[in-house]
Amino acid sequence: MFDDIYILIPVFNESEKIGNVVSELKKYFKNIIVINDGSSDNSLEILKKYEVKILSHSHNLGQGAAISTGLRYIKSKKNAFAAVTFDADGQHQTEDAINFAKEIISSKVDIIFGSRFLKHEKNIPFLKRKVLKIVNFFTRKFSKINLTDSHNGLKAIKVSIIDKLNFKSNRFAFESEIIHLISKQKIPYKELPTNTLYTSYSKKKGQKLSNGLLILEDLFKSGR
Amino acid sequence: MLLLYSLIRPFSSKVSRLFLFFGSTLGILSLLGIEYTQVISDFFGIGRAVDLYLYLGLVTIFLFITYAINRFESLEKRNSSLIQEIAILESKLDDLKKEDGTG
Repeated sequence: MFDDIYILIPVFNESEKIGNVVSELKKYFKNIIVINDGSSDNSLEILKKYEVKILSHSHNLGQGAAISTGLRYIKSKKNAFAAVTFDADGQHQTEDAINFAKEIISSKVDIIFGSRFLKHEKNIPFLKRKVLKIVNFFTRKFSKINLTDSHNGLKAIKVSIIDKLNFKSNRFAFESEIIHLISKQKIPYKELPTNTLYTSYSKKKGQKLSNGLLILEDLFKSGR
Repeated sequence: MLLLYSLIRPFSSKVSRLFLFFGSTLGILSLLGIEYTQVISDFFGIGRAVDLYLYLGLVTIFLFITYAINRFESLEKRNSSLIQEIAILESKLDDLKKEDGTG
């Protein structure tokens, strides 16, 4: 049981999956922080049944803002060593979160990025795989950081570097911003494989492929 | 009146003051006679005085849109920051209540 690793889950209308996600994680992680990002379904009522810390945004701000709120809260916890960010839609595997937790404790790097391309590339739907590869190519060019998967929600971040990751983007552009902050400040990082499950639910809830264009736009803006 | 108002009213930026000042000056000139605005149009190489108004109108719309977008973004940032701050403070208060045994 990890008690100095905090799991951070941004939640927006995930009533269908959030119960299972939390109950699975709760078997291994003592501290789970859930950011209810202005959900309009009964996600909050479901979450209240579990022994998790709930932080609530009164309005939906976006994934970036939810992660930022969670990190700021975790920073104030004396026993916190690192945070592992985890998606609420059931795409991520608890085993991956455990690996990330173990690795961030034993490793000298300050941040671990998840990568769908290191081991389980074939799980990614064909078109999404191609779009992600294009985004990854440009991310490498703009940020000079050699990541194989630049937009993976599973990450482990040491509490000691939270102040350095002062990203401003509220929505998914925060991922590009983090990469640029890591690159600028030369923060040590590594990648670990993640096994992402693409179900019809997660595909419906996940990012649209056309958002890849917005990601490239963000990369260009932050890379200037 | 508007010209005088532009000189005495407190503005948050010099650009706003200059905008109202030149706008009202141009208004006065156009009331005095087309030949005055024609001089300005010739100076800028626009040709007809009526085109000067057209271009100025377009510039005004463009500036207003830019200003409105910046203002919205700034308000959105402030709003987000407040919502985040409230969420953190509420949860810390909740933690304190639990520690005290009152929550």
